[in-house]
Amino acid sequence: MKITADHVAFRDTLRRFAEKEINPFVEEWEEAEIFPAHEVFGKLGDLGLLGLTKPEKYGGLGLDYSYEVIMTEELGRIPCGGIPMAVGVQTDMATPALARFGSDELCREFLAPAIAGDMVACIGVSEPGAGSDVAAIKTHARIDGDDLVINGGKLWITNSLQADWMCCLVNIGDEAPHRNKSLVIVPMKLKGVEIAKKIRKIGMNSSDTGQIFFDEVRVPRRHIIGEQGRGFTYQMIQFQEERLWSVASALGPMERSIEKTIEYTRERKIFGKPVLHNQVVHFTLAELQTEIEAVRALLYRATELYVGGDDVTLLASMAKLKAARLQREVADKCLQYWGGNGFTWENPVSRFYRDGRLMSIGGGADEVMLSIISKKMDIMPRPQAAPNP
Amino acid sequence: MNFEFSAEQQELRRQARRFFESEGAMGSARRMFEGAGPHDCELWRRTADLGWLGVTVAEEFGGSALSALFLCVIAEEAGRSLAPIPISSSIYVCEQALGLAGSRDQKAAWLPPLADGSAIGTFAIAEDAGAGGQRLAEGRLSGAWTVVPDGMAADLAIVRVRAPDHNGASLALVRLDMPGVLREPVPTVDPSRQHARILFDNAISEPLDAGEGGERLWSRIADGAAVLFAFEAIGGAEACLKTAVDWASQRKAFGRQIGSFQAVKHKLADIFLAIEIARSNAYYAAWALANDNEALPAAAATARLAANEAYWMAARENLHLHGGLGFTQESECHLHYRRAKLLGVNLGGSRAWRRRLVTEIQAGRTSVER
Repeated sequence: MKITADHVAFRDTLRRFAEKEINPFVEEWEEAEIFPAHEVFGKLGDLGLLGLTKPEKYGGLGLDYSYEVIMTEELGRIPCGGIPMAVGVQTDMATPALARFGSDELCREFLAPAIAGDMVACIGVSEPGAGSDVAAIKTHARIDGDDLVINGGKLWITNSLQADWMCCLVNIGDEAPHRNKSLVIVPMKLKGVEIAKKIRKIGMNSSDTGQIFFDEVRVPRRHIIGEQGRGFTYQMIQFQEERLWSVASALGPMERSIEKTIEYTRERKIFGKPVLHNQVVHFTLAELQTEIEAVRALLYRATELYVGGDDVTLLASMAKLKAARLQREVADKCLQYWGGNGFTWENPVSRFYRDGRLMSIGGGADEVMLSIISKKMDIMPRPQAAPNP
Repeated sequence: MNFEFSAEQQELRRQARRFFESEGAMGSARRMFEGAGPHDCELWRRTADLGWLGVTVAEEFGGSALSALFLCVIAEEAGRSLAPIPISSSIYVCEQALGLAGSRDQKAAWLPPLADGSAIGTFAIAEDAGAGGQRLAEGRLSGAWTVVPDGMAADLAIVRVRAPDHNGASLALVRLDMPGVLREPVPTVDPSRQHARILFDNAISEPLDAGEGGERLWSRIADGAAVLFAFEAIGGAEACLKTAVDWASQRKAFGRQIGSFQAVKHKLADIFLAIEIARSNAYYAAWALANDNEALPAAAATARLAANEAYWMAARENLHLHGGLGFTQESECHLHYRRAKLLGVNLGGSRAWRRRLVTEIQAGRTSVER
């Protein structure tokens, strides 16, 4: 993956934007446990940053995925995880399947305004009884003439308190779990959509997370993305971008934590010398930086293949597993070197310690990544085989 | 509950340490490594002369009828010195098994020669996967078993014969000097302890597991042996730590002792910690073994896992710390590096012992539950 002058130009645009329009308000939004998504997305949309890889006819820039990666790395410089995540949901989790498989009509109605930043999107996969095990979701839709009538609910939905629409995974019909799913665009202002509660979390506080119930929610059948019954496959394809995005989003916070820790330990003296001068400290930071670079190399390799049209489910899953675990390690080790300061709420590393915990859980838990990798290596026992002795 | 070794046992420890040192057990391990023999016969005889091979054997069979704690102490010192003698196979497993489950005739026939070192026993639990066709019928044993520790020198073997569907097993006692027994050396990562592949062709055997079921009896045998293996591993781990500390204090790089670098000294502290955790677990397991306590299975598994982990870590880091020197055969580092691996797999690998521990936890038979 080659970084061109164009990549750098986008990165600089985003950096200037974040410094002016996001970073000064982060503390306030973290406190409020929500941020003004329409306002921020509107401004990002004006700069074209919400549709880098989306088709030009819907207002996107038609660039390849490497631009998204570079932008997301830069988003990671924002001093909290919540805002980057909210943007990522809009650009890489709720919209890829729509852009790729959705009808022209559906894209004009929902994708174009999401790219412009006029509409906020969310992605509805997880449910109370099914998170990482996507096939087990229970939300279902019945066909009634030209409409779908949806019942069920979704949990842990980022952006959902402000969202205009949800890209929602539902079951239609009684086919096997992998063949009965469809992705459906559900406008959130419809009758029967209840935002049941705002969920408090240990981190990612500036981003709102909700639980949503659907009670006889009626949407037109044309809101199904692509073919009915292909939703599981579409979601698995969509997950590739979600996972690449996750990895890209982790690099910034990790590097920022290391930089902040270097600054602090260089100043802070203990036993007559800077903390950083302890070998255990600078060796640890050197090793962590090395691992970050290894993850970046894996991400860039996966991105290059993805841009070239390959299925990168395996590499993206590997990268996400590694990045998620490394994120936890970086946060924990850096925090340690801040002593008592590290344990305080406002400390930059302690926020990362809280925010960074999510990545091993969201977008498919570490264990799900391991399952996918096992499947791709063909070492996963088939379901009908005897359990492990 | 008293986890301390008695003054007598402590005295035996000092004596054993002096003995293995003065006998040059470490140098002997190197000679065996270079091919001098399946084990050090002279050291084996002298160890037997001290009565250490029969400490737990009943007096009527030529032993001293002491607690297993005495054997734990000897195991630790044998491990520290890398003594190239078949003590784990012959004493921790075979002799203990006969004491536990042997008939009166079997005890009378085998315990005295095992206790005085004139006979060597071993155990065969790894079926040779390629060979197949292990079977036991009407006192006749056929089939191949592999990586049998000290299998070339042994006179007697306890063989675990699993049912074809692995549901249940029998333990057969087999003399290895009889017709129908063929053996060949199997090279392993640790040539200081020779291993064999043994092929039985209608060999005469007798059952050891009268009435109890072989799988269950093997578990009991393995529990006791695991505690002794753990002590041997802890001895080895401590030897590695001592070597590492000595080296770190003496070797200079960038104008300083390498032990003054945090990257080195913190590592040494981590090894110490791993050893102490293993030691605590091993003491508890030794107590359970000596008192025939129901916590033994969980305690033995915990001790074995912790001790293997500590020995492996100590051996690995000791080798690494010695730099290029550690990578040479002249150094002692690789002997421990190999032995650590060997002890770790000889009685079943860590996966099997973790599974065993999980079974005990599920059954609520761990100290945590009480």
